[in-house]
Amino acid sequence: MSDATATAAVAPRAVARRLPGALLLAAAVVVLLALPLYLEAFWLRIGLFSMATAVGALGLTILFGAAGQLSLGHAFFVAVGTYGYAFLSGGDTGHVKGLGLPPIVAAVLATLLAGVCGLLFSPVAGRLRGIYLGIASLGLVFLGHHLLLNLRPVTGGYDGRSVTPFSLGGFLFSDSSDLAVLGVPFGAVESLWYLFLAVTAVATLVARNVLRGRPGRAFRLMRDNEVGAAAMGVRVQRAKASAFVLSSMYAGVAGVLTALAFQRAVPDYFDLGLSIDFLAMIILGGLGSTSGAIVGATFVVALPIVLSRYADALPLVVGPGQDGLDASIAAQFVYGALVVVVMLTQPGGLRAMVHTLRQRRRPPYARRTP
Amino acid sequence: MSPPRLAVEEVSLAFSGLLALDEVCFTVEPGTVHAVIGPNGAGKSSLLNTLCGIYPVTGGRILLDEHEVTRLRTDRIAALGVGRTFQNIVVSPQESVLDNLMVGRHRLTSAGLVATALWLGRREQRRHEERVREIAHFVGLSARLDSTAGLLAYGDLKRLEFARALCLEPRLLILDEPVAGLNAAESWELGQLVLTARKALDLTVVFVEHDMGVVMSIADRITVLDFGRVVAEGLPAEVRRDPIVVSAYLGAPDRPEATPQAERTPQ
Amino acid sequence: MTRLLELLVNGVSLGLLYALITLGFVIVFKATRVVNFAHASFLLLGVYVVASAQPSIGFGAAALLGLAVAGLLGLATERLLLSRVDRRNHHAMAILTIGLNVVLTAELTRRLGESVLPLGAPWDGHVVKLGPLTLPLTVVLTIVAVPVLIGGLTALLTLTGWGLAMRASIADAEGAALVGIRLRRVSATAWVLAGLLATAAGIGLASFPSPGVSLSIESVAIAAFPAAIIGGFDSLGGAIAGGLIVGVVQVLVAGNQDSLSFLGLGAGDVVAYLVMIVVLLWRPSGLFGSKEFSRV
Ligand SMILES: Nc1ncnc2c1ncn2[C@@H]1O[C@H](COP(=O)(O)OP(=O)(O)OP(=O)(O)O)[C@@H](O)[C@H]1O
Ligand SMILES: [Mg+2]
Repeated sequence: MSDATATAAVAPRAVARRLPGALLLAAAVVVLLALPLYLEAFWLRIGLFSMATAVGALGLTILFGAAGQLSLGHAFFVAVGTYGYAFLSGGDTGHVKGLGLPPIVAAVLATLLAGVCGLLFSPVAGRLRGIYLGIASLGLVFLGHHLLLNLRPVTGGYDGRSVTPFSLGGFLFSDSSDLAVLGVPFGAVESLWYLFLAVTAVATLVARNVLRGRPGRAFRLMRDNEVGAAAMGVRVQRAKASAFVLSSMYAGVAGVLTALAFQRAVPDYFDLGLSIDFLAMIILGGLGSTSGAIVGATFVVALPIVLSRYADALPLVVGPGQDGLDASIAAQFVYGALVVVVMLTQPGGLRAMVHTLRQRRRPPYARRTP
Repeated sequence: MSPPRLAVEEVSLAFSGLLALDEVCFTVEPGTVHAVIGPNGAGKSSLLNTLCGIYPVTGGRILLDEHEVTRLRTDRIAALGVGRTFQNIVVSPQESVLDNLMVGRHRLTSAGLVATALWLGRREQRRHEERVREIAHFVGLSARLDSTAGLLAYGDLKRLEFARALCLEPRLLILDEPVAGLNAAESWELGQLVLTARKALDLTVVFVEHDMGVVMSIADRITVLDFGRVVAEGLPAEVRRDPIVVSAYLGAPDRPEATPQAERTPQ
Repeated sequence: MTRLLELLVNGVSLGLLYALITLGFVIVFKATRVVNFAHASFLLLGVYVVASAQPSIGFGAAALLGLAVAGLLGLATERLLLSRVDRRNHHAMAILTIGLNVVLTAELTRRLGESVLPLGAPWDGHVVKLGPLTLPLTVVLTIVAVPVLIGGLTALLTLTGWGLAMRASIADAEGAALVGIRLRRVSATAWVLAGLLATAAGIGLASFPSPGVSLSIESVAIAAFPAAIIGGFDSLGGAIAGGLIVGVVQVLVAGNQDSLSFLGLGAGDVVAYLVMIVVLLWRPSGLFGSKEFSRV
């Protein structure tokens, strides 16, 4: 068979293989767009938190999954995004100050600010690796938390500060707008849903581009062998630093989204636990994969909220304040146990699981000969 | 561009007390294939690593044409057109062969984070992919481009590394035991590929190899190292007859064909 | 002057406890390449057992029980969880310990809540006068006992067959396996040691002048991580030096809170991280860590 006929024979099959994927994607987009018309605010809010967190997880999966740089400091950069936005867009209330910038400007600047913080840390991030970088970046979380408690005029201290609702071109993303679509009132949650969806989509596409393109390939060889990467002409120190800055900016965006979803910024949210959760998300989902990061984030965010909502329906579990197994603790048990189970049965994460399932279902002729 | 001349001048290298290279001198003329041989632990790999700036020399100079590269960073040396392979295969095992090869184009491409993020790297990538496919075809990896590198057969991995070094469009090609672990037919084939590449791409080649058949058939000149010193140098025919070499190395009772297991130094 | 000396001695004592915590963490990391995210909850669990058993069986027996439980927990972690994962998949193993940590912390949170359990150690509440210095007995005992413990551990590592196997597999796991060293046994021992050392350190941390066992002990224990990094991961000596530096600096900063108020409230708790980052800028592998030469 000549090359040309081979290509001709393969092409329709390739299209046929891609078609269901494309249809699935289109269907998913339609569903995601229509959800606010059908779901109650409780579920939408979970969606908002999931998306905010997913953006942060995307950043960490570039940094750790692709470039192999362990960071436990992700929560710090998320905090920079959250407080950056709150401070830049907020007004002066009592002791707490703000610059009162337009929200969109504040959001962009807060993202850049997180990037700058990442850049300032790059003398450390560019030279370290492995556990050294992990623990060095863990320091950022503690230093950051200290600053959040003590820089009262900016952060509001222990009680935190409130967050200005987002607005764009005169449209206010809050409950005070009286827009209604198909009889569904469009409050903060519904309108934020679309904003978050757009941001998450862009963040995902950018991450895919980076991971599939020249920087991603360099990152992965650097992860697997630093010397080998250098011998291919990769400037290792710079690549590490730029992966770190990029992931900080992702964390910054996640921080802005978190601020908007919570409508308040409180220091205790940004602790070591958050950093570790991010790590768990990307590994549960499958390291270095964008879809894995999103699935992992959704799972880790939604689990405790859903569990406490259905606390009454579950045996043993009770709502807050009652005698018995507190729902939030039960959620922790389930989360911890699931992490253990997934790692025991599927160390490559959920993505690897989906991959094996798909391989199994694909007809034998389509399987690649080894 | 014409192939470069490589001059190694009194290069020494010490690892906390251990003198791995002791005032090593030799010159590789433009466009020639130069072999470095010697027993295990002689310092051959260390020598190649100093050429690439991976190990910092403790003395001496390395010149690529008129450029002194002695203290340059590894990536800067690569940027001057030095491509290499490694003794203990260095690839990204989870990536496809194509992606592994594309890393070789790193220095020739420019799409940074921002450009790639904004879809601006696509054109460049496609252009370079074409060339990478040509090179893969040249080494016989065309059918494996989509395979995961970690699942390749050993011989294919060796070829992958060789192809990736070519993807750098090097002027100086450095190979550390390119045929170790291959059977006789594969070894001969890869040896011929080196010669073809040298000619077609105008390369200067430096390689380390234990397989004397390949060394004698493709090398223009040979440098013999033992305990970090140059103990002999010359044309293959001369080296083969040199009594020091014979006693230090070739005469060693029945040195088996280098197998990958035996070659690996403990990490 | 006296006050400064007292602070220094207190700092050294705290630092030695950090060194103990660090040692367990480093031994596990070196023997198995696993970052044990559950290390701090091993510690808390150990002292929790001590504090809750001590009213009924007395402190001595309770301490032994706590050590045994934490050691067994380490063993179980290795045997039941980690041994089921591919030994080279360090990520998966580290995440396993995250899962374990979540479960342990949840359970301890459920049991402890906001309460503080007295440790009931015989040395609690006692102070000793050494010349002009007035020191809690705990501090003095720590300064005596921890070096003995670390010395014993060093002897174990250098003199026994197990120590040799341990060091061999730390240096080169595959090579060690080839010459017949049973890696599983080495790593199991490392995990048991981690539990024991953590509990021993926990007993020190929860002793007077600390009010007892509470959830906050866990966050105190986390300060051992920067200590490990400051010293460098390679040597027992590094762990000790790192622990001492962190302990002393922390106590000095906390003790001079008033004159250092520009650093903000609670600066003592975070100054260790600042020191760590400065040290890393200067020496990327810590003070005593050796620079890695990757071989290719
Ligand atoms: N990174 C390093 N750190 C310490 N010593 C090293 C390092 N790399 C090489 N050596 C030592 O330098 C000496 C030369 O090693 P090298 O790898 O260059 O030998 P070689 O000639 O390539 O041997 P082989 O034929 O086995 O590949 C050996 O004694 C080796 O142990
Ligand atoms: Mg070698």
